[in-house]
Amino acid sequence: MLNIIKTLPNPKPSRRQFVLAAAAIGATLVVGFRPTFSRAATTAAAQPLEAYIRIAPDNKVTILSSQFDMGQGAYFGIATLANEELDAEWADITVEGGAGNPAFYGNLAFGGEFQLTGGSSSMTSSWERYRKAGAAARMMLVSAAAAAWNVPANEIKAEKGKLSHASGKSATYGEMAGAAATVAVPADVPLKSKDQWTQIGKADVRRYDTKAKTNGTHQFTIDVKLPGMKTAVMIHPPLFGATVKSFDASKAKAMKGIVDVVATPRGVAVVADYMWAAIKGREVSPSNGTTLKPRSAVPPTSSPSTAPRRRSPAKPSPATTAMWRRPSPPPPR
Amino acid sequence: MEKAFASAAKVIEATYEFPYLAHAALEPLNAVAMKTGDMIEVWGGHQMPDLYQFIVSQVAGTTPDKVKLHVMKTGGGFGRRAVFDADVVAEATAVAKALDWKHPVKVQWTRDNDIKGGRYRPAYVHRVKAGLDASGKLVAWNNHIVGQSILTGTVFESMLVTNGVDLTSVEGASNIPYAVPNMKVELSTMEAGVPVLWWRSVGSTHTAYAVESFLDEVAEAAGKDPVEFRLAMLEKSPRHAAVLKLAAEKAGWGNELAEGRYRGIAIAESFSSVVAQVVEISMPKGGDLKVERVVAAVDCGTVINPDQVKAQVEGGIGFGLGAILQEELTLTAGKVDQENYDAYTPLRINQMPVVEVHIVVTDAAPTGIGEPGVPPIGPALANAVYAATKKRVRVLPFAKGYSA
Amino acid sequence: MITVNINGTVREVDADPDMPLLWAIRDVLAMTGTKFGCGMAQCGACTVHMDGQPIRSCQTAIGDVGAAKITTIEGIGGKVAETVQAVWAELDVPQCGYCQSGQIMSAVALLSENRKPADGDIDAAMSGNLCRCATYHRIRGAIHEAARRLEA
Repeated sequence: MLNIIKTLPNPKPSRRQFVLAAAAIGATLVVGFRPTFSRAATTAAAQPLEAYIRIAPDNKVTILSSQFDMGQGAYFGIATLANEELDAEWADITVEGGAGNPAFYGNLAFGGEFQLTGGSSSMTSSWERYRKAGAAARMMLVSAAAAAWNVPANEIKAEKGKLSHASGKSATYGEMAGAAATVAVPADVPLKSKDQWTQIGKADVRRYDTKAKTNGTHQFTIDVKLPGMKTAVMIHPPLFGATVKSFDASKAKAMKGIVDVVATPRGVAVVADYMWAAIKGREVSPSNGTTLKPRSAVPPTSSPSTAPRRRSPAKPSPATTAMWRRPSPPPPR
Repeated sequence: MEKAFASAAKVIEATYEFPYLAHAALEPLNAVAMKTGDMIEVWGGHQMPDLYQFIVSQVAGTTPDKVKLHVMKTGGGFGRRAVFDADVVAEATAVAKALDWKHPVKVQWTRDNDIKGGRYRPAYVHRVKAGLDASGKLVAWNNHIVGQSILTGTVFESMLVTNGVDLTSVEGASNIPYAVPNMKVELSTMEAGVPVLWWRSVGSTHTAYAVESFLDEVAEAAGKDPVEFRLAMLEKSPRHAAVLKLAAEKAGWGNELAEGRYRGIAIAESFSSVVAQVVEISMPKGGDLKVERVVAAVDCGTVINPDQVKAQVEGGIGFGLGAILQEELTLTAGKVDQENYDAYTPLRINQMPVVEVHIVVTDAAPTGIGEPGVPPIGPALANAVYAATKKRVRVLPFAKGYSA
Repeated sequence: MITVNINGTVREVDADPDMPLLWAIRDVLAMTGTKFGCGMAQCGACTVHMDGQPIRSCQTAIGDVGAAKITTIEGIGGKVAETVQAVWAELDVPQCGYCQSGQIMSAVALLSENRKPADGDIDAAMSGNLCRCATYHRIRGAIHEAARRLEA
């Protein structure tokens, strides 16, 4: 979103030096970066949130993304960078959002001091970091296999989630993850040259997260369901900056499914057991907005079968009404 | 500057108006907050996690280390989930707290909350003035931009606002790639009570339109072909020149078009990537404008996945086209007039052109791709519409600023 | 209690008859593939099938469903649906994916009635489904490709 990259042409960590850190959590290998001036190396074990890549005994590879994905495919891009070097099976890869430590997830295109997705900077920020994390994890898996099989590391092949040696020995990444977590973190992590790439730049590498978006299983925030969870809808002030003076929710509170109606600094919340009750408890917002009544003509939805067919709602009177304090004028500058 | 204009053989001038725009992502804003023991957990589209963690801790009355964020992938965003006061995230926390943390709480905005909820692409006005010498060379360029600052008063102010100039107000105008001997870009920052925010491709949503559609007028005043005119000023910007040439070549620029078909071209750099687009429209006499085809060329450094680069340019074109054609957020006496997709109208499939994307092969490090597909579509379309009608659209969206 | 036939199963739904089918599906029957986008039949994210026809579940009261058979994204099957879903994935149509359940429901309904839709047919059948990521170019391509495969 910001053109800051232009003014910060070198998107490498300039203020922080990064070293690789790794830890075992059970038999899971965790690879991340740790600022040199930061806490002891054991910190990563105590804070798995700081990791970039987790490899579990069941071969599941979880990549923790510093960048948020709102649909543009940042997770897929970051997974491609890590997996170019790691070479796991795509079917085993998932990506989760990492958060909670700017020292690890700071956006390098913005100086690395804080975590932000924006300015179309996700690949710029991740370009070296995630390839290095993938390469380090792979080197550690290879080292562990070399030790276990008593063969030189450079004779071991690591591809498609499997380690193998000409002697016939082989293991999956998951099987070796626990041992790999105990080997020394490589000080130097060489990256593949462009001619060795099998994933970066290849159109036949497809988004790992598409299938769930074609069968309704992909989970968005709206789909989060927790035991005992309540759903709230908001009544916002009709003018920007206005605040709640008072509200009358006596009618709403008597309605089925309503838990409570509460004021917050940003407006009045109608809280209910489920969404429809919350909507009815709000019914008509003081800004005259109604979410229920189909208003003007439906846009080009052609076929009559897609046109609205619903019970004609009784003209609703507000179940919750609010009075607002006008916004105070902005302070002079 | 004044001298350059005074001695110019020809001076032309135009004013452009841009409306407020809403992000209007399909998943209305939402967040879920819960407290277990002394830990607060919040699920949501956490685009600025450190800041949200801090704001949640403030609202909850605890410390940031007692806040755990679950970052969810969201149903769109386009900038709206990176908001300085963590709006819906703060709301979910506040509501759960008001209920004494007895229940996990999901705050789910309805569409009217979302469209009326503020944080719009600011409205802007550009006045652009150009001076040509007797040979038709562009010798003076003045672009005065008026609008609200997105970043003043936010945590980003110290980083991105210099001497009162918000970089996001002028990006794409203050750094045009063309060699112009006398150039001045001015900014007047206005205050208004309407909260504003970055909207996919930010400053370039308006600067590219003003610069590139006005440049088309300048080329015409100089009696030059729009591609040749630009290329002559891009000798020191080989990357831009290559992208412009690629788009022109792939689109068959200069070839004769079928009856009732017209073309326009534009190029814009944003987020360190360069995108050029050639738009082909059909416009039968007295008939409606239809955007038929867009040929895009892009240089975004090393490509991580070419199919996804194409997807982002295709989507950026559709996203930008909706805004240019028909999106506008208006206010009456301080209240937002639109509240749903019947009145705030993103592009629909019947308006989507065929899109062809061509990628420049390079060894340079990767640059942006989520946003750079958006800026050129507006001016390229405006230039095609001029080719068809000899009318310049200077008030956006087209639904308002163009009448056939 | 309201009885509905959904995804081939008869279910008892504890809801007021005015509850939109959308919220009954999501909150009572706990199937979240059908999405809320606008609440007034403007975006198509909530599209489901009623006796094979696409409807906007946010504008259909659960009490009005009666004996009609409802199918959601979780319940679609058969050759047309499987082909559409497979092509959608192969062509990487979705970006954020939020609208795609609705897009697929509309596309399956279209291809079930019209095995060889022209662009104009696609516009007519799909223009009620908004995609803010504007994946329309690929949606159109995927419908044509699915039609080609269904013909083969």
